[in-house]
Amino acid sequence: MKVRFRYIAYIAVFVVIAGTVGAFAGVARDADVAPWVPIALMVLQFLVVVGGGLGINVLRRRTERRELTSAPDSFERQAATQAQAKAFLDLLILTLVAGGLFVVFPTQTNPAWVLIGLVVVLVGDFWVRYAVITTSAAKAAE
Amino acid sequence: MRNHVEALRRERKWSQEALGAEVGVSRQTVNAIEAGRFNPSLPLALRLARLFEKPVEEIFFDED
Repeated sequence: MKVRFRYIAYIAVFVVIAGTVGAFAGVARDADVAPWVPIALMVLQFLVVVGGGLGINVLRRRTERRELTSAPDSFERQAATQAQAKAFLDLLILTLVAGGLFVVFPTQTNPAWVLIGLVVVLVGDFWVRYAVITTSAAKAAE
Repeated sequence: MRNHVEALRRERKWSQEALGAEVGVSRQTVNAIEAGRFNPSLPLALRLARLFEKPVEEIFFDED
C-alpha cells in the first residue's frame, strides 16, 4: 500500500509540474515576452516530459525488483503478457475504426489527435486488463 | 492443476511472502498458486519441490 501511495504521490507531483509548465507556456505564447522565454519553456517542457517518464520507469523497475513481480516465473509476468496480448487485439480493432474515421471524415479527422488517442486508450486498456486479472486472482484466493 | 503448497507452507509456519522470497517470486504469485489460479512453470515447481523436500508430483496433482 505504501508503494502504491508513493506512485500516486510521484505522479501527482509530475502532473502539477507539467501543468505549471504548460500554463506558463500558454501565457508566454499569448503575452508579449522576450524571445528566449518560449524557447526556454519548450526546453523545460521537454525536460519535464522526459524526466517524468524516465523517473517513473526507474521507480517501477526498482519496485518490481524489490517485490519480485518481474521474475520470469511470476504470476504478475503472466498477467502482464495476457493483458498485452488482449490490448494488442483491441489496438487492431481500434486502428480499423480510426482508419474508418479517415475514410468517412477525411478533412475533419486530425491524425495527430487520433494517434494520441490510440496510445492513451492502449495504455489505459492494458492497465485495466492487468488490474482485473490480478485483482480477480487475489479475490479468488481469499 | 491442484496442489498442497498452502498446507506445506502452513506446516512450516511460513508466510506467503517468505515462501515467495525463498523461491524468487512475489507474494501474489504464491497466493495465486495456492488458489489454483496460476500453474507455476516447471523451474518454479522444481524449486518449490526442492524447498519442501518432496517430489513434484506429491505437491502438484491433476484434479481428476
